Formats: sequence, C-alpha cells, structure tokens
Amino acid sequence: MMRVIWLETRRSPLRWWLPLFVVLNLAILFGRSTSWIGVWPQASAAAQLGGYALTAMAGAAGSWCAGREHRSGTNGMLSASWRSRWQADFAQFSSTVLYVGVPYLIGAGAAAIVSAGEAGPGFLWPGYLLLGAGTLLLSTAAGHLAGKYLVGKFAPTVAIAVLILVFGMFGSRRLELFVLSGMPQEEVLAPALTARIILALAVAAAAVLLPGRLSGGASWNRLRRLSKVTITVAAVAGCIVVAGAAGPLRATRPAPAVPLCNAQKPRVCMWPDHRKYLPEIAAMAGRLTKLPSGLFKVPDTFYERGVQPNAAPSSGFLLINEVFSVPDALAGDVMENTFRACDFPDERADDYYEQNFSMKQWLAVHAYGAKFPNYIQGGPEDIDMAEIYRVTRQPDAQQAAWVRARVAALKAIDPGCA
Amino acid sequence: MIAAVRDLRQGYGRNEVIRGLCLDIRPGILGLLGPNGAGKTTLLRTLATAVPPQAGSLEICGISVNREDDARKARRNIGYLPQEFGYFPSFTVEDFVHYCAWLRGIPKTSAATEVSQAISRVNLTERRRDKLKSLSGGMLRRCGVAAAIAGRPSLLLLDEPTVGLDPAQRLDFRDLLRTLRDEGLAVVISTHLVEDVAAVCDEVVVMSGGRLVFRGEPMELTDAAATDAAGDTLLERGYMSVLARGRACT
Repeated sequence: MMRVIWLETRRSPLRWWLPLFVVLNLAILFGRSTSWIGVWPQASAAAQLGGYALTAMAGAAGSWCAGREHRSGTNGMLSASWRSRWQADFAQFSSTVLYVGVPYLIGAGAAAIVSAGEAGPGFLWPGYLLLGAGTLLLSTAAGHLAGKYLVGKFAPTVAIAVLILVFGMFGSRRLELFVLSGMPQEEVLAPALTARIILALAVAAAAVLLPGRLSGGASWNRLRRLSKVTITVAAVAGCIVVAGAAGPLRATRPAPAVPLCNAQKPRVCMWPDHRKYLPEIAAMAGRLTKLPSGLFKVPDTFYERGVQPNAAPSSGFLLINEVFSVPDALAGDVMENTFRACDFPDERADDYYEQNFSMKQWLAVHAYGAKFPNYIQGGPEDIDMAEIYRVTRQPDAQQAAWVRARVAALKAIDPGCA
Repeated sequence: MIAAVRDLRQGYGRNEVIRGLCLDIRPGILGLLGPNGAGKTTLLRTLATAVPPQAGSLEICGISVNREDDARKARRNIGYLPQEFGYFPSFTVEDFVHYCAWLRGIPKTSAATEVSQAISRVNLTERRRDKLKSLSGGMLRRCGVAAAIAGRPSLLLLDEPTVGLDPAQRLDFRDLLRTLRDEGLAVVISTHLVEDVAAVCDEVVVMSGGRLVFRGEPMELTDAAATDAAGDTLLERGYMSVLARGRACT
C-alpha cells in the first residue's frame, strides 16, 4: 500500500498546487495579524485558522483528484481489479490529505518557530491544532465524495460552494468547526473536540469506503452495496448529530495555579501565556502611580481577567491580541477603587457619567503614556476627547486642578459618589 | 481449460445482450468477431468479472465465479484491457504499469521485475519514464497491454487492442501475442479486423445478437464463405456468410 500511496503522491496533480497552498496558508497566518506571535494559545488558534482557510482548496483538491476515474475512464480497470475499490480510493485520498496536510503543518511549524522566542515555556496547544486538522480532513473528505459521485469538471466548484455554505452556516455556530482566536482564558474541551475529530474521520471513512458509481453494469451484490451505503450514511449522520450535541467547543479555563506577576508595585498579575505583554502592562500600571498625589487610589494589584480565583467573571482587564484595551480597563479599576459606583434614575445620570468618563479617560491616557494611539479618538456624545488629551499634556498642577474640578462636579451631583 | 462459460445470459436492465452463450477457453488465441452490438465487449467484461452474470455459470482457472469473493480470487489470473482504455495522463509508463500490477495484486517482491518485463515485451522500455500524455495512441495501447500482461495472467482479455496501431506496430503486436500463446496463455481478442484473426488466432468465434453463430479455426471460417458473400478476402466472406446465416436463424 505504501508504494502506491507514494506513487499517487509523486504523480498527483496537486504537486503543482502545493506551493500555492503553502503560500496561501502562510499569507493568512501572517497577513491577518501578527499579534498572536509569542502567545501559545493565540499562535495555536492562528495556525488552526490557516488550516480552516485551506478548507475550500482542500475540498476542491479532493474532488478533482477523486474525479480522475471519470475523466480518465479507468472505471473498467478498477471494477475488474483484484484490489477492493476502497484500497485504490484510500491510496489516492491519502495522497490528497498529504498535499493539504503539509501546508497546514508548515503553517503550524512557522507559528511555533516565530512564537518560541517570546512565548517562553510551553508549545502550541494540541486542541486547536487537532481542530484545524479535523476541519481540513473533513473538507478534503467531503471534496473526495463530491468528486467520486459527480461526473464532470464542475465537481470542484460544487465542492467549494457546498463547503463555503456549510462552514459559513454551521462552521462557527452550531458545529463550531473553527475558532477565530485563542484567548488564554479559554480552553478546548476534549469531548467536543473528540466528537468533531470522530466526525471528520467518519466522513473520511465514508469517502474511502462508499462504493463508487456503477458504470455500465450490475453490481456483484446489490444488497451488500446498499447496506454499505445505508450504514455509512447513517454513521456519518449520527456523528453530525453527536458533534452538534457535544456541547460548546470551549470553556472557561481554571485560573492559573501560579499567575505571572511583576515584582514592583502596583503588581500586575496575568496569565503566564501572556508573558510577552507583562513589561508593557506593568509600565502602564506604574504610570498610574505617578499621578498627582492624593487624587486617586491605585489598587495594589491589577489582575487580568480569569487570573483571580473566585472573582466576578467580568473583573480584571481583558487582553485581546493587543494592549490598547488595557489602559482603559486599568483606569476603570482605579476609578472603582477610588469612587463609589452610583446609579441615578434621573437626569443626573448623564452628568455623573460625563464627569466619571472624562476622568477615566484622563487616567487611561496617562496609563498608555506617550504612545497613546491617535486612532482612539472617538468618544461618547457630550464628552470632549480633544480637551482630555490637551489636559494630559499640561503641567501636573493644572492637571490636578482639572481633576479636582471633576471631583467637585461629582460631589455636586451626589456627595456619596465622590 | 482456462475458462468455461455455460448458458450465460447478460444484459443491462431489460436489454439482454448475451443470450445463453456457451464457450470453453483453452490456452491459445481466441478471436472474437462480430458486428457492433453483438455482445463482444459485454462478454469480455463478464469474463473479466467486472460485472456478474445475470444467469448461467462462469468458471475461471477452476474457480466457479458465483460471488464477488470468487470473482476477486479469479481476477488474480486475469489480465484485461478494456475497449475504452483509461489511463492517468500524469503517470509515466512505469508508474502506470506498476499501479495496474498493484491493482491486480501482484506481490510486492516480484512486482518490479514483472513490470519491467511487461514493458519490455511491448517495446516500451525506452519510453518507460515518459508520461502517458506524451505517448501516441498506439503506444498507449501497448502500455495498456503491458498493464494487462504484467504478472503473467492465465487469461488475457483484449478488447480491440489493435485500434490505433500502425501496420508495423500491429505486426509487432501479433508477434507478442504469438509469444504469449507459446507461453501457455489463453488470449481472447475482440476485434473488427479480420486480418488480425487470420494472422494469429488459433480459433475464432463469431457472435451475433448475443449468440455464438460460429466457432472453429480461421480456416473453417474461410471454408464457410458463400460464393455471393460480400468481402475482399475469403475470411471476410466467410465471416459475412456465417453472420448472414446466424441472423437467419435468430
């Protein structure tokens, strides 16, 4: 069998497409964003997504290769061969899987290599990689089935259209066949992943084991053929149901036993997977301690979301690929630590919100430091963001006066809130 | 006896193509003549066990072919070149014959030698590394024959093997058939070319309307020629005569 798989691989038309598959995968891996570099779960999800992007190509490749029998007219030869039909199909399908699997592995390898320097201990998460591999296998097998039964050169087009439709409709929701990012707060659940892998293997088995089209004659055993088709289709349908019912693909990850914290005050405690962001976020927290004294109470420790056991699910700063959302979250923590949260059912709510938000924004700009990105220019109605940026560039005394005026305004609304 | 067919009925749906045919196939070259639609290709496909008989019995190399498992066992002894010879254009001659040898279940240990010998016998050794898409029609046929004879099957079924061959290639091909006959193979050739039958066949069968209307040596077919039959050679006139008689009977 191995020599025929090798023969099929050497002579597959996909050998000319391999470089394109590799380039496409790498282009999606590095072209979409590079913020995943240095974070193992994000790098794993990015590698998985590269594989997902290959699914349409894999489907087309599978159907084109499987349609060889119709194009070349070798049905007569196959139907009179000593080997079972599935063996010939298996050899061909294996070579197709190899041609779509290699670019995926190259993508995963590249993700691992570029991440290794920054990410520290650990490696790519197998859960995400298996999810990507399963999705790729599933689409290759679906394409193979299309090519096996659809006569004509349009089979790859049909396979692509069906895959886009199916993955577009169900891929991200009911079946969750791919993920867009891999935050450290979440982990892939083994039962759901297993159900998806089994589904992919079932479709692959169906692609290989289902008998081919009958051409110009009867089957040796119609009953056996019909039973084979019925059992295989029922098994695949069962796997689809099980995969859909296996529950969510990901769940909240338990807090790390030993979070990654910096040594200075205020401390910043994060997921160890986010190691590369610690210096930058620690510097942000440090800048908050250099505010005009006595105006704000900076917490002793800032926690990333999910790091503090038993904390509220929404507490802590959330890092989504980039740090630009973190200063705002740190400023929110400082505001919560300094002022009592108030809720007004009347027109005072707008005033309160305006003063509170202005101060929070002022804190966020300070936390970000000189690198505050220009693109964060929007803000709620009635809040003059340009004025806030201008204040942050004034001498400390003037800034302190500006803050005190905001605090006085809060007290005027309700002394208990300031 | 290499193969025995008894009261074979074969067809597609309700269309009966072969109607109660009996045939014994012994070592040597058996020519299968008949007009289009006579059932020659269907008979060869049935002998190749590509399709099960609708009725009657089929025995190949002592294996009674009643079920798919029997058919698989029998296929080890059969080399088959279909009329519509399919091939993979990106494969080389060597790859393709290797692939067919694998399909035929030729053991890995002897496959390389068998493939090499089969290619050599059809005079394609120098082109063995060429891709099939670069070969002429005649060379492709020879490649198909190489794929069919690899592993030395006991029964070789060739459906119009000389189509596309130039006169020189046809002469070479006849030589190859004679060699195979001398090695004890049973070769069944379906053809429209009566001169091929005259040149190499030990026995000839004429089919018409799914029935066997003549069986004998080529000389006997010549003897059957009616004086008013159409044809340029005696054999052609004999063929036309037995066809006419066959049609009259049916």
